[in-house]
This record gives sequence, C-alpha cells and structure tokens, in this order.
Amino acid sequence: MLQPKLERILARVQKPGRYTGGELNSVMKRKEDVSLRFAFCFPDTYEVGMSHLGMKILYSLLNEQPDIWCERVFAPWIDFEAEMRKENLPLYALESLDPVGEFDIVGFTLQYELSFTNVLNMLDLAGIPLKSADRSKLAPLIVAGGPCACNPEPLADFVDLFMLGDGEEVILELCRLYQQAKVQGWSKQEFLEKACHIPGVYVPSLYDVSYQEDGTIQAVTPLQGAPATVTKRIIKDMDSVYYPDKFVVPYIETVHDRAILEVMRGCIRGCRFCQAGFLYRPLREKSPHTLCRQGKDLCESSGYEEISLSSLSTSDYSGIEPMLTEMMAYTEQNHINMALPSLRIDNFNEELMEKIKAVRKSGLTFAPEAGTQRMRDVINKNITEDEVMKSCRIAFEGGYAAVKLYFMLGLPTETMEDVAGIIELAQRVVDLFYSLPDKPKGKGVTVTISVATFVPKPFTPFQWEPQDTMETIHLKQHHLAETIRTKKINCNWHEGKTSVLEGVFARGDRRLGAVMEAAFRKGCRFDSWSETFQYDKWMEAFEECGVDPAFYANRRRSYEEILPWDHLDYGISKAFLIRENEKARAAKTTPNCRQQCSGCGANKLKGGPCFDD
Amino acid sequence: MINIRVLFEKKGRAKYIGHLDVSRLMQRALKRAGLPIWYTEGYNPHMYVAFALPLPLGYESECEFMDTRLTEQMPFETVKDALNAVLPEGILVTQIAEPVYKPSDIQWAEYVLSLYPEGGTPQSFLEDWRRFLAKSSIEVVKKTKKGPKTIDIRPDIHPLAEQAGSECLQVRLRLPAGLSKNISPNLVLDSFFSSIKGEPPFARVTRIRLLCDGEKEFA
Ligand code: SF4
Repeated sequence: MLQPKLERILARVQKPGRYTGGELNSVMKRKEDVSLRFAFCFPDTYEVGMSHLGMKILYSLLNEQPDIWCERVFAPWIDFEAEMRKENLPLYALESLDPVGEFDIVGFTLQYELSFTNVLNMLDLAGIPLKSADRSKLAPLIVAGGPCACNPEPLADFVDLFMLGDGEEVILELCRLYQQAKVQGWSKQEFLEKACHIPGVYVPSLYDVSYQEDGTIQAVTPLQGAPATVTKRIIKDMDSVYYPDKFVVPYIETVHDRAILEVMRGCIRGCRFCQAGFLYRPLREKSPHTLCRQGKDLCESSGYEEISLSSLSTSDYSGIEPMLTEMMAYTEQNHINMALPSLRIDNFNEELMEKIKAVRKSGLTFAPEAGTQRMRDVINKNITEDEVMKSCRIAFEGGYAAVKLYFMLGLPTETMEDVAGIIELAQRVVDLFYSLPDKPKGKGVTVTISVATFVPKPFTPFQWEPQDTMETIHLKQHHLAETIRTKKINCNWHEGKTSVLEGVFARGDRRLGAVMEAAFRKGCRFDSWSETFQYDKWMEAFEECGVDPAFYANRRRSYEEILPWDHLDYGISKAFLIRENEKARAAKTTPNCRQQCSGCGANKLKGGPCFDD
Repeated sequence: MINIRVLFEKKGRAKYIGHLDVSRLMQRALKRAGLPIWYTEGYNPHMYVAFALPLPLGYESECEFMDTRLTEQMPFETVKDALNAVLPEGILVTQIAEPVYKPSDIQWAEYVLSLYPEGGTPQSFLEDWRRFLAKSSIEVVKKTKKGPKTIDIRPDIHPLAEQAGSECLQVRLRLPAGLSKNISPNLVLDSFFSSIKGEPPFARVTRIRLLCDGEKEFA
C-alpha cells in the first residue's frame, strides 16, 4: 500500500505512474525471506530507465536467486524531487517502497557521462553520504557498472566499486561475497580488499593516483595487493547466458515499451569513433533458435505487440535470415510487429527492404556519419557514396519519400570541405529522388540530417585526440547552415554545450570528483535534458575547483601519456589503438573482423580466434 | 463475432494509470490471457476495444468497463477468470456481460469523496460541506471546446449521503456523466476547497456506479 504521505505528493506531480511501481511482472518478495537486498538504480527518469535492456536482464537475474531481492529505483523528475525534499520523503525502491538507504547494495548503471550528477542526487535523496570515505559501514555498498565504468575515475570518490564488462556473472559473484561478509561480520575495508580479487571488479580506493607538474598522471599504484590491471568480464556463450523470459511491463508510456531481443554482443565493424564498438568486443552471437524462443517467451508473459532486435549492428548478425523467417511465422500469427532498427547502409538490400516494408515503418534512417569519402575513411565507416545512393534509391522506389541521415561534426582531421560535404551528400540524395522515374507519386522528398557533435572516448583510436572547442563547432554548424540550398533538406544539431561536459567526463580523472560535487551542490542534475542543463553553473564549478575543462576535452595527448583508464583492460591493446590512430590520420581503412582479424587483442578474453574459417 | 462488456475495478496503485494506458494494459492482458480476441480485417489488424467516460488520473473506480469482441462463444466466467489471472495489482474484472445499453446511454455517475483535513476535523469539514451545498448557486469556470465558460453546477450536484468519520469526511454524490453533459468531481472539489479556509485537504475519489436514464444501472 502507498503511504498517505506519498499519495498526497503524487496528487501534485506530473506522471505519478513513474513513482508507484506495482507493474506487471515486477517482483515482490518478503524481506524476511532474503539475505541480500539490491537496489538497482538507473540515474535517469523512469521512462528512460525502463527502456533499458541491461537493467531488465540484471533485475531478473538477481531475482531468480531466492535469497536476493532486487528492486528498481529511478531518478525522480524535478517536480517530484522538490516534493520529496519538502516533505522529507527519502528515495525509495519501486517494489517494496522501502528507503534505498536500507538496502545492502545500491547499484548504478552508467550509460552516459551526463547522468553522473543524477547518481549524486539519488544518493543524496536516499540520505546516503556521497563520498565513499564518509561511509564506514559495509551497508549500503555503492557499486556501478555499464559502459561508462570503462573510465570510472570521475566517480572514484563516490562509488565503492565498479564492475567492468558484462554483468551477468560478476554481479552474482559480488553478491555471494557480500552475503559471506554479512554473515562473518567483515568491515567494509575487509570486504573491498577481498572483492578486488573478483575478476572484473575495480575498487578505486585501492589505487593511488599521482600527478606530474603538467597535470598529467604520473603513476597509478595498486595498494593492499590489489591487481595492477583489472580486466573486463565477458560472457563467452550467448546461448547459455541467462536471459529474462519476463519484462516488467510499465503502465505509463516509456521510450521503448516492447519485447527486446539481444541478437549479439560486440560489433565487427571497428568504426573508430564508436566506443561501444570497441568496449563490447569480441563479437558473440545468439543462435536464431535461442532468439525465437526468447521472443516468444517475452511476448507471452507481457502481451507485447512489438518485438525489436537489439545490438550495435543488427544487419551484421549472421543468422538474420533464418531468425526473421522463423520469428515472423510466429509474430504474424499473433499480431505482433517485428521492428528492425539500426541497419547499416551496405547491408541494405532489396530482400531486407521487403521485410522491413512488410512491417510498415514510416521512414528510413541511414548513418553515413561523414559527408566525404576521405572523412569516412578516417573514421573507418566503410561505406561509399554509391552505397548510400543505392540504398536511398531502393527506399524511394519502395515508396518512401523521406529519409533521415545521421552525421557527426568535429571528427579528427575534419576540414570545412568535409563539413560542406554533409550538405552536398544530402543534396545528391534530393537530386536522386527527382531523377527517378519510379519515385513515389505526388510527394516531395524530405531529407532530414541529424548532426551530432563528436566526442572522443576512451578505448577508441581517437582517445588521444583533441575535441573541437565549442567555438569551432559553432563555426562548423554555421557553415552547414550556409551550404544548404533547398527546403527539402532539414538539418538538426545540438548546441554543443553538453558535448563539452560529456567530453570532459569521458576522459576525465579523479580530480573531477570535486567539480561534480560542486556542480551538484549548485543544483546541477539531469544534465542530458535541455530543460535542466545549467552550463553556467558547471563553468562556475570548474572555476571554483581550479579545474580547466580544456585540459580534458581539447588537449592532444601523446601516446606515451598515462591515461586515467590505462589500468583497466577491455581486451583491446594499446598497440592496436595506436595502429588504428595512425591509419586514421592517413585516411586508411581497416577491414571488418569477419573479413580479416586486425589483432585488436579482444580474442584473448574468449581464449581463441573470434571466427573460425 | 461476440460482443462482450468487461466490467472492472481500478484501485490502489492502479489509480495512477491514465486512461490511454489502461487501454494498452487491457489489450496486453487480453493477449496474455490467450482469449480468442477478434481483430479488425485489413492492412493493419488491431483488436477492437472501446472505453468510455475516462476516469481522471488518481481516481479509483468500482465501475469501469471495456467493450471488446471474441471470435467464438465462451462461458463468461472463463473469460473473467482468464483475465484476472493475468491482470496486475489493482485491476480486477468483476463481471463479463453482454452489452445491454450503449455507452452513450450513460447519464449519471455516483462518487464517494473522502476528504482528509489538513487542519480542522472531519466534523468541522462536514459543516463546511453543508454550508457549501446550502448555496443557491455554485459558479465554476469550465473548459469547453469554445473556450472557458462560467456555469452554475449547484443544480447538478445531488448529494446522497455524508458521514464524518474519525479520519475523514465521506460524501456520496451523483453528478451528470456522459457524452452530452459531464461534471467532474474535480470541479465540485475545487470550488468546495476554494470556499474554505486553509490548505486544501487531500481527497480520495472513487466512482462507484454508472446510471442510465430513469436510474437504470448501466451494468
Ligand atoms: S581479435 Fe580480431 S576478430 Fe576479434 S575483435 Fe579483435 S580484431 Fe576483431
């Protein structure tokens, strides 16, 4: 039952359904029956968090254990937060409605850098001291995982330990050790010193970081016998790894509310700007049969009307044809839509087109990422203009009159010609449409181009590159706008202030903890939301802490510099990243992993070659 | 094709599920229950489900309904049990029936309002409430398609019962409901709250009955 206090608050906020829980398939247990309570926190709104696959997997996996109860927690929107603070209502979990401060482990998933202040805000709303050093007791233990754990240094002051890589195995090992610690009454320090020996667990307080005069890192020294490097965990066999047969079905509309099938982890492409493409190496696929079984289970337990396939590049999935054939036999019979997102242009053939059209998508999207061939070679996006044109032609002849093209601005070595090339490419797509005898009748074409700002990320070949300053990005955006000659082209971009912050935190170190806390104290949270982002407050925080954002964002690093994440091992060797960086500068491409292994090193995690020929 | 009317309660946490969200929830429940649901023909087949009289967010109800269609005859008890087995907390099917009246036949709805005083007592509230009802006219501004309009709702408020308990004041009333005329309890509550001093109380509202012309039960 909801407490009257909560009900009164709910009557005054937008979308109260975010805060009430009780959804279908949410897991209720009795706290007396479990020995570990896990609060799984997503540092963004309910609608965003409930759309996230990783959370669904780990939530169900933990709740499969009879002695563990995992509950969900999301960041309250600002209206609810204000009420919570006014009414002294602590942050609570959606299943039991118990305060998060009462849990054993409080775990955050770090999906993007701009959610870091929400982590602090959620701890604060839970009444949990922000700093790890200020929490002497074992409970609540603050842990985190997710892609941003690959450089967790900006959060090192706040989070007790990080889990690197795939979470399915390590999270259970961590919970088992915690249960032992509880029974045997270990101190937090004792626990952390043991936990750091679980492969994939990184305890930042067991590493001392020293700096040189110029501000770069001098050394990262492990303490108390902690391992010198921490290697990420991977799931080797995607067919036998746990996958939920139920999703919690939200009542209110969320970003994605449908059955999601993870077809594979990893990507063969090696696009040099894409952090996920390197972080999740090597490629591991699920069999079509496993996918069909999981899709059916999910639909039956949820009543979902749509299934979508999730991976970094679904059209590279080797079993796509047999899987779609088997799956669509089921979905058609049961009035379920099959959605196919994130297709790559070079795999976009007529047959796939037929399948996509069969499921009625209203528009098509492609991601050439850059406007000129030279620029695409630099980023290793192995697509030619001919292929872009061919895909668009198939789309237009198939009855579509709108396409959306994704690009990036601020890529390494980018010139104003490359910038103008984005518009020129879009213009050729417009021209193509009007040149086709078979174009859709009575319709004008719309080419929407969406231009994101490139942010260099750790564990990519561009990890040493300077990010464009905001001024340069503005100039380039201006140049884009100037180059457009027709109303058929719609161009969208973001202002770029958030990219500055994203860039700073992506490649930041521990000295940013103070800045983050200062910004949070000034009221910064939900930094990825334009209505709540407060750039000026952030700049004040940098100023007060004596930290220069340009040092992190706009500085070129040398290959020799010790990077804040160098003691973390994601399988990819530094030598490989250097090779790729050199090739990028020479505008040379690298074949994809199926064509030829480039020796990135990630196969050591698998203990064998990635593909058997 | 068999038309059925699903009567259900919406209580507890489920009262925070909005009207459109209830529709999605019910369609998914029909799917999970494995019932022989009738789909429209054509390019984009979908289930036929129809709701009427959207319940404001945060209200509970004992008399919600949804009309839908089955492809084959089935005992109503079986349909009810199959749905209740898959419905989430707070939503409970009370009856499956053959539709008798059309949703457009609905004329009245009855509500129970529970008012929890922030200051004062339920007893003093009761006096305020009586004073409020004793007025000869109660003017409120109602949003209409043609813009805001001032109307007198006093003639439309039919108080049925009132009781001051230890925690709250409960009143039961009947208001016009339906396509031609609809007075939301929110209108009544807002004007009542603005007639009293101090913080507006916390109110729980439950819709308990739907009536057609001549006071015939809708279902
Ligand atoms: S080891 Fe070779 S095949 Fe495997 S991910 Fe690295 S580059 Fe690709």
